[in-house]
Amino acid sequence: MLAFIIRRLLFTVLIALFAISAVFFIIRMTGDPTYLMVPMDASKTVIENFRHKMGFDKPLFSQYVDYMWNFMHGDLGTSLRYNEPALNLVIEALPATALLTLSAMAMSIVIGVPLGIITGIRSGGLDRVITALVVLAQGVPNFWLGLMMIFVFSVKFHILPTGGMGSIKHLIMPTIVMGFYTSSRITRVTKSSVSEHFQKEYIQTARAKGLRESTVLLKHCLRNALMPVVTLVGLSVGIYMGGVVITETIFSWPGMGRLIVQSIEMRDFPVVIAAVSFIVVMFSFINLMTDIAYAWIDPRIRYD
Amino acid sequence: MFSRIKTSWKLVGVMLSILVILPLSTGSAADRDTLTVGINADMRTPELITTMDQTSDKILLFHIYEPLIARNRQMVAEPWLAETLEPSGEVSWKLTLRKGIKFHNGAELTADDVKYTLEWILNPKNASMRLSRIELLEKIEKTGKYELNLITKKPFPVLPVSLGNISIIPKGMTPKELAKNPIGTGPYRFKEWKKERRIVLTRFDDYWGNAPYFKTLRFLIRPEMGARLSALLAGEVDMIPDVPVEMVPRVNANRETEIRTVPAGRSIGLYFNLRGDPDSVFHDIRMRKAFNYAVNVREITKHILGGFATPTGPLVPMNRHHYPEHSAYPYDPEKAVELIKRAGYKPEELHFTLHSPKGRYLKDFEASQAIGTQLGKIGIKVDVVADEWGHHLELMKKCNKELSIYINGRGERTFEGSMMQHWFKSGMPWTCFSDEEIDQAIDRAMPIVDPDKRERAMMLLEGLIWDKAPWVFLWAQNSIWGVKSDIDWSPWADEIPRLATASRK
Repeated sequence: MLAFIIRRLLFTVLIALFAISAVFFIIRMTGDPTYLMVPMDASKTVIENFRHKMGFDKPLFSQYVDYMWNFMHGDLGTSLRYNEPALNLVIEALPATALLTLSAMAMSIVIGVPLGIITGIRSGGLDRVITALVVLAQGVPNFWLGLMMIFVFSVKFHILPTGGMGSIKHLIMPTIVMGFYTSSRITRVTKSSVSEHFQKEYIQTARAKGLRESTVLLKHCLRNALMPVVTLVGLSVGIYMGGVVITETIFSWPGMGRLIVQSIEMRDFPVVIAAVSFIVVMFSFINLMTDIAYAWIDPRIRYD
Repeated sequence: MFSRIKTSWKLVGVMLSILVILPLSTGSAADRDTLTVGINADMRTPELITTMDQTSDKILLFHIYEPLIARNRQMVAEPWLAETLEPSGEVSWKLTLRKGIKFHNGAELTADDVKYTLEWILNPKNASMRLSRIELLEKIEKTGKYELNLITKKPFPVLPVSLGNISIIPKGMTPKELAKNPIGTGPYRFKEWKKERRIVLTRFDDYWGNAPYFKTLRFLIRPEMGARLSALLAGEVDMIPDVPVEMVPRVNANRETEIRTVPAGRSIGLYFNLRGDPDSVFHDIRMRKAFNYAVNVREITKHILGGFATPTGPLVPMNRHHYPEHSAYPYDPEKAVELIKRAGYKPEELHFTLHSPKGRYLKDFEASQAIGTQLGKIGIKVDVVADEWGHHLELMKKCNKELSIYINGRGERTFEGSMMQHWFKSGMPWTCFSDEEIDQAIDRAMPIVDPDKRERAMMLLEGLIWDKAPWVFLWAQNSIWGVKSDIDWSPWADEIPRLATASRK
């Protein structure tokens, strides 16, 4: 297992270096950031001073070498927009995104797994109603849901704040909007997995042994049936931690998604690279954790 | 097992009940002593010495920091921290400061602070974006505790208004220190900045001028228009800038909110690229005039911009000097066709790509599409392309053949017409126009210090620009704010809100 983890970590470093290089060249090929930073009536002197200070007057490859050298020494550059270390901005945005991700995933699991189990082991009216609701939930665009919730709960009834971050009330609507879609996906995956495993022979054997139905379901069936759910949760956490642009934008949530989009618009490439590096590392870590969780759930899985 | 499921449902029920019984207040625009503004972007840094962007100015200028000279409602320069600023020669000005003004750290404002601030900006090593404003300053001499002489490289008649964009900071403080602990002389002092969330300022009790009504100013960052508007309608904020035209009826329909607007110093034009395209048909003045006659500006300002824009003939309607005989070009498609034919072209053989920003200016892309349609009515084929703003800037910077005609907006920061050199002088950044006669007229008019002579020269210059039609004169857009009805405040033409003048009815 240790060798597997080391291999994965080395692979992560390679991916991060590739991603950083790609982002650097792609974002710089779209134009010189200077012109987005200086006012439109800036004189030639002001423009030249700024380009010199930022090193943009050097050849692009030379800028790349400088950037990578600094990166290797832990300096991810200074934000062109905020004039602050880029990594600090990513670290500042991270708690907001982590909070939203955790609350949305908690909601999704709390709603999605029980509903998936119910519909997986029962067929009939309730199953059909839940399945219809799940299909509906997957079809509802989250920007529409968000705007409708703001209109009803904030503008009409003044129950919840329209956006921003600060209290538990600010968290409710973005959590529901994000969790709405994910919980429906978890419900579907749980349902299909549970119904598949519920028909298998080892479940019949467990029943034949005289075990209680709840024990059969929770200890035998779910342990196997949850594998695809774990994969889905892992992937969703990774995606959410990279920022959910629409939800963060609608609710003015100061997370990673908004930071990345604004930085791309401003060609603030040190921040974009810092964020991308973080996302690459985090995705790899989550994938690693997911693989370890597989081994924990299913002891037959070995990585050696 | 199903008993467990029932328990889960109970749990869900309890959670839903908690949602319902949450306190009804939603952090609405706080108490009467707090003014909350829903603003569309965060500031870059809490200092106004290095950077220069409109949002940071909106949040900080006249709140935390103050300039030597300020503009009044009519955009005429008036002394602010300065008591007087008068020319004492062709290239020298005598500046006297008001006495008894205190910084937020308790220190008194003296000539040392002014000298330090101006010299810091003038130092090229500091790469200050404010340098453009005072580039012609050569030397700052302290002549007394409150007096200075400002020596310029050449005559600099718009020095007073140019100083309106320079905030005075305490001697010895660096922008880095100011970014952590902003200190100015303004009516509010810095309290809190949660990046991308909010900025909070509190009243400065030792302020030298009239004490502001509101004890606290809160700026909530709401980049998305829908979110900003919802916050206003829900009563969470007292005012929001840049309300889109189509949302105006919704704001006015709400009992507690209304629209307040003012013509702003930002002119939108349809530009021709002459510099980068030697074969452009627009080197012929008749073609440029033809386009001016072919675009029905009044129809666009009325129906697309909802009346929140003024057709331009004068470059900036709020400017002090205008060539009196020139108003907007009339809509005359027949004359346009005739001019095109006289220039040796057939309208149906002309084909252009119109580059337009999208969302940068009031209904910019929709208006560009209307312009394309109007030009199409006389047979000219126009493809309208929406550019991402960074790409649009890049095209304007390069001025190469890829760019033929394009929409752009330029802000007038002096309201004295001095921006004409940035807009039309050959070789200026973002200027794809070039005309020797205009260049000479600009060089003649800009250095004149005598007010009467300057006014005459500026009017002649504006007249020449009108006649040469370097762009299709379109409109000057309004600044549109959504404001709660109980707030006594109206917007300013330079788009700096000056919220110390606001109060609650």
